[in-house]
Amino acid sequence: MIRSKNTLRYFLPVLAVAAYLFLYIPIIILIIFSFNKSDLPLVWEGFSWQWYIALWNSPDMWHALKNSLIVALCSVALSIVLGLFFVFYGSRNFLGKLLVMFYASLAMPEIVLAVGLLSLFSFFSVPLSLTTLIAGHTLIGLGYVVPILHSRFQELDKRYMEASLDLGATETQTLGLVIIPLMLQSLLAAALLVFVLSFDDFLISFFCSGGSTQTLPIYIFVMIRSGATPMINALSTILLVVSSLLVLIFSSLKIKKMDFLQ
Amino acid sequence: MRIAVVSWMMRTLIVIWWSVVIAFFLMVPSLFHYLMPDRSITVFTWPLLLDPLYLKNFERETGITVHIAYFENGAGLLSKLITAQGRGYDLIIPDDHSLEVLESKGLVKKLDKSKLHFLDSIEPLLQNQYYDPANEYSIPYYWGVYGIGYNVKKIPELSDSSWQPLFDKELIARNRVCLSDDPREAIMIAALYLFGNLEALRDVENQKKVVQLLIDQKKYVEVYTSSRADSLLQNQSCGLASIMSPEFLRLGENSNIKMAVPQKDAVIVVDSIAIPKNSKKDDLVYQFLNYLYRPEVVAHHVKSFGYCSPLKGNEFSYFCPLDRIHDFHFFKEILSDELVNELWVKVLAA
Amino acid sequence: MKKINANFRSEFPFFMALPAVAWQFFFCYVPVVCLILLSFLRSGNTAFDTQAVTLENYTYFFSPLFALVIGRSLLLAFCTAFFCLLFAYPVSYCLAIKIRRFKNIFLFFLILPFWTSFMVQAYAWFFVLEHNGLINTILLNLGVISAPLHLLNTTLSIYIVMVYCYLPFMIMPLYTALEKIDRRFFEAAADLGATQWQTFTKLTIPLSMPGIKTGFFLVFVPAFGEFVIPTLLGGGKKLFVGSLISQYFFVARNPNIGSAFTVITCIVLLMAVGLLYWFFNRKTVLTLTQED
Repeated sequence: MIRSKNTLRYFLPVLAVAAYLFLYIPIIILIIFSFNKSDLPLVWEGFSWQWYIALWNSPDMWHALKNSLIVALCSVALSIVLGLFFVFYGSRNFLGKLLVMFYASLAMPEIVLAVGLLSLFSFFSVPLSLTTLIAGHTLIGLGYVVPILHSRFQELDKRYMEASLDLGATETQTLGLVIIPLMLQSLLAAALLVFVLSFDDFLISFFCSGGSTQTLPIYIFVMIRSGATPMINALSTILLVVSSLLVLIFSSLKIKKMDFLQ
Repeated sequence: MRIAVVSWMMRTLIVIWWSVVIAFFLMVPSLFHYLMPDRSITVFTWPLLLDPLYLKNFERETGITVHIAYFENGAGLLSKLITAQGRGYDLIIPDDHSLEVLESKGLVKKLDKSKLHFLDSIEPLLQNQYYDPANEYSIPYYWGVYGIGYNVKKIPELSDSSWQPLFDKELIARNRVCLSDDPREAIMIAALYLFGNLEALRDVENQKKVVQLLIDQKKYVEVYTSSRADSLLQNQSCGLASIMSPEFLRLGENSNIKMAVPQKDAVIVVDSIAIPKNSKKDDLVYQFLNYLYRPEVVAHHVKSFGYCSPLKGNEFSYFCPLDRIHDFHFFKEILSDELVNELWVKVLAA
Repeated sequence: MKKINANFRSEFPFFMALPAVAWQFFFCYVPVVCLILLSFLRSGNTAFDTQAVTLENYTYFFSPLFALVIGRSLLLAFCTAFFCLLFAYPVSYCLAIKIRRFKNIFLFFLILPFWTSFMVQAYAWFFVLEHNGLINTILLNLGVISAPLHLLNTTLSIYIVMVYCYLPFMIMPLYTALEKIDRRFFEAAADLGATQWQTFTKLTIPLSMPGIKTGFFLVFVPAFGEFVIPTLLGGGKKLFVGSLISQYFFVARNPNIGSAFTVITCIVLLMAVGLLYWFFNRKTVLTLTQED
């Protein structure tokens, strides 16, 4: 009895530490070699900032970054606005019952969506551009936003809404002044989630990108496939640092529970 | 009753309204470009063919911004252009096979040669090839030859008489091999090794033999890749690989890699300049082309990326064998892309 | 005019709620219908033509070759989900139940890799698994092996990186579910004389079942269609469902056959998910009745 208690006591933490190591060792190596002077991966030749400088000077990278940011921000804005309106106004309407529709984009592998969108766009001769990309990413975003906001909305005390309407506010005013502040945490969590999903999205961007709409993941993909230099390491390190800052902001908003996934 | 009917009419109107808004949203960028033409061109090209930093000089001279988009293989180029019906790019740099396909589908437009000032300095041996006999649609740009790269630490010496080393069971069992992941290239290299010419591929029996050869080779293949071969050779993941001469020349003198260009049945690939059918910025593109073919620009790219120059007056070398150009094979459209894909799926799935 | 205005006012919720539905309809359901329509047309037809309706795109795939590819993807998806569960459970358990202080910091570091692009994650593993990568260098220097292990471009490397990339998707729902368990259950179990193992199997696992189910499906469904990671890490030597679909659309440029294969794989996925769902729910019922 005591022996099993002891082994269990050490067994679990060891596993947990192993998991953290597993998660971080590749990333740490990646970061270390971004400062490598030589351009051969895994042959350390001294410390150097040259890849960061090369990255700074690379017009392709800035263009891809700009595209990724535009698409991500627009997708976030659209998904949140559309999703919120659906959840709120849909509750007063039969449209709310169509909630089930929004689970489809999660239930299908992303490649099916990407291929379908490509077929749709070529069928209707819609030229591929940033807006077609935004359309695809917003679709993915809606698939996450609507369930999150819906479950949060259901948890809200309905009496706030009734009280507001009783006191003479219109539906829109109720939404803006009562519901949104109550749901703020969920809104921000969903927005951040959609931002990350859209920024990192590869499949839809790969299938539906047009002329000059190369996003950052595609840029990284082309770089990896065509003879990588440590410039990728530098880019990854920067992305990691930026993501950490974003996540710090996220957790500093005191979001304790990620209960949307129930 | 009447209220219900009016209500449904209103709902239908709302549905129509939002559908129009969404459709408008999708079409906005094309309208944008149409109404506000900007001084910029979009070039669709291979990675490591154009140096974006060097091209900034062009931007400074003329004020025309150059956006560069990359495709990683001919299939990517073809599918994007065919889906978009030639729209979205102002200049493309396809390889010879893709150009053949694009011409047959009418997706490239004829060049106005009066606007190009450098045509006299293009090497005549490169012109009038099978894909564009009169050079109406394209001008040769950079080119290179295919061969077998090998790591001298693992294989001290390799004969350059043919493609045999890539399929030599003993050799590749000891040192793994990396083959191109482009189905057309892999199948045609195997066909050249087996039959010495590409026409033999039209016969179904021969296709089966090629597939079987590739399946037998697959056990010893480390990676199917078309552009990572140089780094794979250097870190000795594979002892030999099918690579293109620019990849090898970029490695420099001090690497442990050598390249053997088969004297028999070697392959040449010529990348050309072409203008897609629906490009509307012709004069901007012609200005860019005149800049691209300036001797110093060509010299810079040849030195940085290892390709062979399209201009006259360059020496014949082992890796730019202009004198033997007619002995080389091209990756032609002997088999359709669909059939190539079918054969390749059989190889990979086995 | 006033009547129209009033009518519009009353339909205002409809007006505001519709865009999301319209968006979902146009960009999710219409494309799927497009795909299904395309799959029934003979190769080369993109416009609907009653002459060209055929089943040949489907019969083309009735061959062991393609069953093997689909089977391989199913196996990959299942194993990825299973090993993710195996690795994620101890960590989530420790974090949710054992650790009292600094919970947020540990959670932050656990979730951080999720926020990097998965391609960067895959690329990072090259450095670990390569011939002169971390593992081989350490083992060679320690004298454990005499020649570098062949780790990259194998099935093993594919599975390792798949588990790595999908681990956060399993950790998040597991952590949430485990955190929700009332601590008093554990006290009650201890009071009633249950051993650690009994508490774990009869209490913790069933109570965290919703999280396990969610995480499993969150990993299984995307992993089935994944092809970038297997291609990058497997050396392009094995065909998976995603790579085959992309080949039919991009290399062969035949959307009809590509759509037919997509539809077939979707149906297979649905059946697999249905099977797993039934399996999960059946097990839960069994455990609950046992406890009765």
